[in-house]
Amino acid sequence: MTPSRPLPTAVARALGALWALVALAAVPAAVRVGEGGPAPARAPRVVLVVLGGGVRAADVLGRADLTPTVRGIAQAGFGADGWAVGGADPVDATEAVLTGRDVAVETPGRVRPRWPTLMEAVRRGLSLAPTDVWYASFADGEALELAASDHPDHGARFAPSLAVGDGPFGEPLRPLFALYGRPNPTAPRAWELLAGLRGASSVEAARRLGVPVDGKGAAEALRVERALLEEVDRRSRDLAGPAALDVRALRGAVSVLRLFRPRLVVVRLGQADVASKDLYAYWDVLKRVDAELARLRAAVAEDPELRATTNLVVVGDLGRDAQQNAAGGYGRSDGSPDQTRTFCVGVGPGLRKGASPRGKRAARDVAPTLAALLGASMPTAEGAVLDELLAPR
Amino acid sequence: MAIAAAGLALLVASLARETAAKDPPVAASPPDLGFYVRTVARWTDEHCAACHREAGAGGLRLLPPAADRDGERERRRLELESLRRFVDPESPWTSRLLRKVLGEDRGGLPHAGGAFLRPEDDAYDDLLDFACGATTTNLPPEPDPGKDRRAALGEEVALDASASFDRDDDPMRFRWQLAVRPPGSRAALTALDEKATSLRPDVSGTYVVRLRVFDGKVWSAWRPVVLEVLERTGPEAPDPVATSGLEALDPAALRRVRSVYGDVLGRPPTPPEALLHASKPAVEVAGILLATLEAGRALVEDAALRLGLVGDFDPVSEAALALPYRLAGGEATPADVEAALARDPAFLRAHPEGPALGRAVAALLGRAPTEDDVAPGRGTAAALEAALAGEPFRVAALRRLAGRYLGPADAEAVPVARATESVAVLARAFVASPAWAGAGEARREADDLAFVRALYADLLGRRPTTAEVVAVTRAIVAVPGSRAGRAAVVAVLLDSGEVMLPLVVDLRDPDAWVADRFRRTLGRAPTEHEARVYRTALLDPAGGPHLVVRGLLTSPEYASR
Repeated sequence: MTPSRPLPTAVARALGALWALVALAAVPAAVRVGEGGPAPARAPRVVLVVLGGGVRAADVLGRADLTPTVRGIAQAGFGADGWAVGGADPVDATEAVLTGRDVAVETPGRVRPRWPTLMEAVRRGLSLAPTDVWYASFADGEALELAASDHPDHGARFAPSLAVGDGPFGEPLRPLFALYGRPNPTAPRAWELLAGLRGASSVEAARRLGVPVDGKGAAEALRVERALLEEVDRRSRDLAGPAALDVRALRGAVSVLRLFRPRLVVVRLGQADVASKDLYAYWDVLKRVDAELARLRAAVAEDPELRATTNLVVVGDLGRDAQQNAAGGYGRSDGSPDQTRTFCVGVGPGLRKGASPRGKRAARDVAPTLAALLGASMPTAEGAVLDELLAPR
Repeated sequence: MAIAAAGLALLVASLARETAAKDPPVAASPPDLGFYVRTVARWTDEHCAACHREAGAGGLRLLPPAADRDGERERRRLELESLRRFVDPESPWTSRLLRKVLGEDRGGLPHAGGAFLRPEDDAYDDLLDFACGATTTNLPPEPDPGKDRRAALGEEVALDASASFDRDDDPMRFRWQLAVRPPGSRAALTALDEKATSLRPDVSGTYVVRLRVFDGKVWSAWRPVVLEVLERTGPEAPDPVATSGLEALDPAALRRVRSVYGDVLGRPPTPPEALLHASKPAVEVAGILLATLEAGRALVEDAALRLGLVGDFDPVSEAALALPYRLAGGEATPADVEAALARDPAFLRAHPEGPALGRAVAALLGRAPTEDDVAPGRGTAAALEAALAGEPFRVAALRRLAGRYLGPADAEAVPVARATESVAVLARAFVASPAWAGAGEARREADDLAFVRALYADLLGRRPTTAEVVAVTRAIVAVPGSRAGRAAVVAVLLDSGEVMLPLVVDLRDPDAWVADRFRRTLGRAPTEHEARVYRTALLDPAGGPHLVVRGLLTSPEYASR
């Protein structure tokens, strides 16, 4: 065996510096992690947030003090109320949003949809890897059944990846943290130094391993590493207070977006259901969820690739009664327009700014419309594709 | 691995059989019904019944209270029958009953019901007594043969059982046994029934002596003590400040000794080990390492992980648990190792009959599963046994062993006839071959297991435990297809408080420290450019030793072959 001979210093330095520069820059459409290959350039992305548990449209679109972010989305993109809900309770109504079909009366105890969800349709239609489609939920266990149907042509094979509880990496990392605790946060300057160290060694490492120097791949690896460790720093698991579970789901979605840059993320929230008993707690939930939506928008905006391709849509599952109940809250059973109509807002490069639906609109239209935006179709949906909401291609 | 820990009590080699023939029949006591009813049942009712009553989750079935006294007695008897399958009287410390109630970070097994106890809890002691065969009138004695140690060839080693004890203060009898000795050794214990005995090693290698004690009522399980008579040092935790001395080694020799350690032990050498062995021929170093228990454990650990026998599926059979000792004694062939693991009851639990077992059998045969393998009625225990008895399996196991040492083409070229040779003979032959040196030149990135072992050797100076291997390898795949998981593991370990690194102010010569870290972790000196960049990071207020080591350990070159 002969000892390795280093490259001339000047060449190594130049290549290393180049690597470090590439590593520090944001790399659009870089090499993807996971099973899928490189994403097509500028392929559209969708983040669909189901603000569930029963939310009155007026409380979202008409209250600047409660939900300024949602109103901001409506002003920057489109926003409308009057969408007919597709089910009588939050589970059925959410299922209607996800499958594009109204759920009249479900079998008691049954949660798994009969018809394919938007996530299955998109994964199947676009041949996407599991890490390209995600479902983040405020609740785990049975609630996750909503992610995929038992339809014979779809189901588990096309189910999305799940981000629940401790976030997308909580489960694999938890045993490690149990043994050693969590690492300290890495300062921005330390990331710069680390990129420099990797750059300095990249040429020699590539030569010894007999592989070409891959600046782009290394930059993507560093981006993913940073996103993962920052997700760890966020400690979503420790979140408490109003809407903590909803917030965890939204934080999980942010992590997923930053790491995997998936084509579709569906976030299901549900803690607004507290409105039946406590009006003030309901308002606290709306405020905190709205703040997390702002965080999500910021995460999209700070990544050039996501900013250029991501469409954010927020839709309610069902509304609330017109009048307060005896407990001082709002139930969801009076059949009034407040309860049977909900809202939908959206913003992004694939959505038409200032658009409004023509004629009747329903929650069941959301899934087929978003599938069309992504380039897929949902033939099993009963809802219509609302072309008027989509930007011309 | 737990395999090795539990196997300490279970090896029955030919030597042991000879000794046993002269002894009266002794065996550890099975769990006692009276002790169960009086001491354990209340605890299991409180903590286990919610999941294990009626439904019998995980194979343990507890029963609802009976209406009358006879019914209650029958209920407890049936519960004890169910519990017996989770208790190993010959190795009570590793019984599944005990490991299921411990957290995974304390050596426990995955348990859907969570962790209930720590080893220091009184209730844990009760369960351990139960597993040891305690009765309502007698607690079993505890053997203590002393700590594992290194010994010199030809020098007498004293073994003392004085630390053994009986909690009832019953007078004890002792039974020693030389369970393993190296090939060609004629060494023997000077006494078998005394409190103290001794052994004079006459051949280099690994000796395993076992002790069992008797309190007049029950025999304890065997407790082993390992004597290593080899020219070895370490591994030991690295000194955070002092230079390792590796700069004195020829770079080619350093690289060669790292390759031998990597192939035989699955980890790099610590600096003292590298300094001791770098001047020796590779085949001689391989011979020394192959005679250690660590080498056997590493090989079995690799095979067990590959076969999915970890955590809840840890091997439990005597044959599987004895493998590290057989390997240290130079006995087993590659097929013997894998067959013992595949015949372990845990294998069929991990790969139930049907398509899962069909796929596992195909993997044992070294090929991708076909439609035929997973067709209904094909993946059966009988098919597994037939596969293990066949020539294709022996050849596949040979190829897998060869793949540890050689490149793919050279591993394929190993003659099929060698499948009947022992692992030790084969491994030495591989290291002696020109192909081994060639494989060393063509470096390749470390797999996850090699990466984990290298981390523990370089940062902590030891091998990872089973719980650590499982936790870390799970974290590594947190982001599929990315190195981010490895980077997260490095960050976690460096900040765990267990890794000793110096403060910058303690470094008299930063350049030398950086160069030394390169040699320790990558097995080479830094290039001029690397030295300059790493020095800058070392002295930067946001950098420092942690960041330098983090950069090295997350390099794709780290732990590469």
